[in-house]
Amino acid sequence: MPYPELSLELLPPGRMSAPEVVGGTIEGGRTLNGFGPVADISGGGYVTIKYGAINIDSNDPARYRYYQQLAAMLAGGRRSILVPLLTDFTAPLLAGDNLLGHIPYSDGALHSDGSGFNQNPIVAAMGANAALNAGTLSISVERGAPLYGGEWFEIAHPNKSSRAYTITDIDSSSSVGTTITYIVGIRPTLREAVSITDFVNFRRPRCLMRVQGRMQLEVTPPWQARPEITFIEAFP
Amino acid sequence: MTPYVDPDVAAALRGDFSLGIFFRLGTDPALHLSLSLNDVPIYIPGLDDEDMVYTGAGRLSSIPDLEVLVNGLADRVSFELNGLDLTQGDLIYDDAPDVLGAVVTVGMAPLDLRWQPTTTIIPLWTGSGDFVRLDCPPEVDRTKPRTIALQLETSAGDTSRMLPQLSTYTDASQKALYPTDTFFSRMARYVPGLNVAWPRF
Repeated sequence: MPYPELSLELLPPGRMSAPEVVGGTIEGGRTLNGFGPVADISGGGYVTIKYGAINIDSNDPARYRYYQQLAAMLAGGRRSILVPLLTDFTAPLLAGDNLLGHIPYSDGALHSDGSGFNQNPIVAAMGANAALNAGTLSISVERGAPLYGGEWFEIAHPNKSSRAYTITDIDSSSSVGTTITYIVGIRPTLREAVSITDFVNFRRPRCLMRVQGRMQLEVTPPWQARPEITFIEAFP
Repeated sequence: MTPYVDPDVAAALRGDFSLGIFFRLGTDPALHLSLSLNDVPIYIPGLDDEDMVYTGAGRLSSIPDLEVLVNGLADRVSFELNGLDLTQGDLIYDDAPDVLGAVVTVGMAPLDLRWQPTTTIIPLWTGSGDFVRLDCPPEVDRTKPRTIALQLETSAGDTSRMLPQLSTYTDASQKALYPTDTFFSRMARYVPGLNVAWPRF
């Protein structure tokens, strides 16, 4: 069964904790200098994001309904959902491109409802095969701005669904024509092996996640709420 | 002679490090768990095939103090898998393979800056499995979910709780098996802690 996808249009967050990779570290205790050695046994950590101040107002029961549907469906983490990570600000977008792809006809005309064509403006693919748990990837960007590190991207794995990764290092880059191939370090490590030419999505990457804790809806009259949802990466 | 732990690895372990900890239960088929969240392709030389993948089990709630384990201070260890729901727990429990006597290996491998294991698994502790038990304590705080834990009891040496242990050899037991053997006939003289003077000739 395909996983449902969270709609940020229906639950627009007013605030968020940006996506982060969290790992478990064990501190070795305080030394004379005051800081302790740190050991990490998480092997790379997991992705987490928090959407807060979600705007549920009184003139749209659809949002209210959607939130309740979501709360019942996700059942406190029993079921997983594809969560789009709001990383639009740092996406490697060429100047003049629109992230959400309102592309007009060649004469500049839009459709009658004001929308254009929807196409991912950042075209990138795997530049080489990578094994399970790999920490270094080769990514070929055919169309898009240069990578600097800190960008988030999504790889849609056949078995483990979509997973989000962030770039920690840029080791090297080489260009063939307009395609630039980067060797990058990523975190967390690869959830499933990928093949060369597999698509790499930099536009609002999605990650398979589950909710952490309850999805309580504190409602103030008239039917207004500003709930907060914490998502953590799911390992079904 | 090549050292057991590679000098580079030993040097890497002296400072801050990230560590992969791996758990192997030698049932048939064997259970391979990595204490990271992600699956890790790695193996124990001599025990596993080279294409083995250790399944990520970051949900394993605790590994008993590894230092205590490794330095031999702990005789018995229970490994705990938390966050099961009752159905899953029942399924695992009903279908659990026979763990009695299965070899339990805990090993580690230091990870580099990109979280890649720098060695194969270095086995640190070996024990044998005793039994599996399902733990479901009542939760009195109603805001918290009830937790179910699956525990594997393991032991090192002769501290198993499942088999009768002979505390000492007696002359009677030996005579029952070998009527003419008098090897243990003076056993009563040798109580634990007694220093027997070595005879001088």
